[in-house]
Amino acid sequence: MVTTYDKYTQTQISADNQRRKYLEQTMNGKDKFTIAELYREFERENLSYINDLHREIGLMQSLTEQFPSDNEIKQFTEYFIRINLVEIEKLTQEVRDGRETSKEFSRIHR
Amino acid sequence: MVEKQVKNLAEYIGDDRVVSSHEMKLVLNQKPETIIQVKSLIPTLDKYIEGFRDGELIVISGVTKSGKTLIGQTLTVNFCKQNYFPLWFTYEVPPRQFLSQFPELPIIYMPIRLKAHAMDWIEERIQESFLKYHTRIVFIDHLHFLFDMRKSRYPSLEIGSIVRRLKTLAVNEGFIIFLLCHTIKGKSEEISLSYESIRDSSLISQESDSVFMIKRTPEQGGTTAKLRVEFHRRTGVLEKTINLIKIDGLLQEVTPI
Repeated sequence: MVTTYDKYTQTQISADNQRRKYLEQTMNGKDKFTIAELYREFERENLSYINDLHREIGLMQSLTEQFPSDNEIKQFTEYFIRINLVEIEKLTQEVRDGRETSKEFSRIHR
Repeated sequence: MVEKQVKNLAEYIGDDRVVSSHEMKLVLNQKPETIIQVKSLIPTLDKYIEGFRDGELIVISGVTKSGKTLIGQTLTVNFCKQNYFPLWFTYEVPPRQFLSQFPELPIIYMPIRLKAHAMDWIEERIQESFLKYHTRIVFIDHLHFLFDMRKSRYPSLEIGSIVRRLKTLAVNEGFIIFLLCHTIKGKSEEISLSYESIRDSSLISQESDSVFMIKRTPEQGGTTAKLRVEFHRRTGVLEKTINLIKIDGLLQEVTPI
């Protein structure tokens, strides 16, 4: 389990580094962003975070499977999954809202 | 050469070596009996089959528009309520329509793009989804998209080998696989609610753990259907029928008043 968690954390860190690198590259030489670009970046960040939350849910499920008779772990994982689901819902709504706002800005600019 | 081979086999200690029933029992005792057990949340169905367990291949069949996908979606929502989030291969219904058919969008996983007639690809996606999201439940809608009918000289045999492959995957990796498939062509009322009417049936039912047949029953109301458990290997249940009704976009059991 510890190895799985370490591996997972390692994946997260490397994903974060990649994101940072990507941001540095895209910002290079730019001092202005269009609103659409900015929202696209928010969306990318949110989608990546949503994916991480889904993976965490999977990790919680594997924990439940490994300790099927441990009620405390079961309760903890259920609670954690619920929290993640709420967060996923919230972020998905943010992506939808962001797309709408971005569209609206593009319409105003035209 | 032959002598050496015989000697090697006599000393063989690989993972697949032959052991006695006593040793086998001890090996099994070290493993949990089931990795997952999930209920359908359709009370009578759960009473008959005692939920679904890993390693099982369940076939859902019925004529076109009989509610195969709908029962799959109902089970999906009910599994999600128990924190089991399935992987779907929706070949028959386009993804946009498929997702919009849920009254509330559940957490499910699906490939962004589907590849038909590609069993290796399906297996790889199932593994991918398991490694990423730990999905143990898989829905495939439907069987006849898994192989190329035009190129196949012996469709029944090919279907048999696909179903066997899915069953092996379910057993080896601890998945529950739901396989939706069509019945033979004909008018709905002419086709009996029996597994024998599944298209290319014999090998499908031989390899599966259970066959559910679904049929709409408009004579009992526009939104009603019958689900029949044709057989269920683990529990030994045979030919049991459950009345269902569509409420709020999903199927529920009709409770007698």
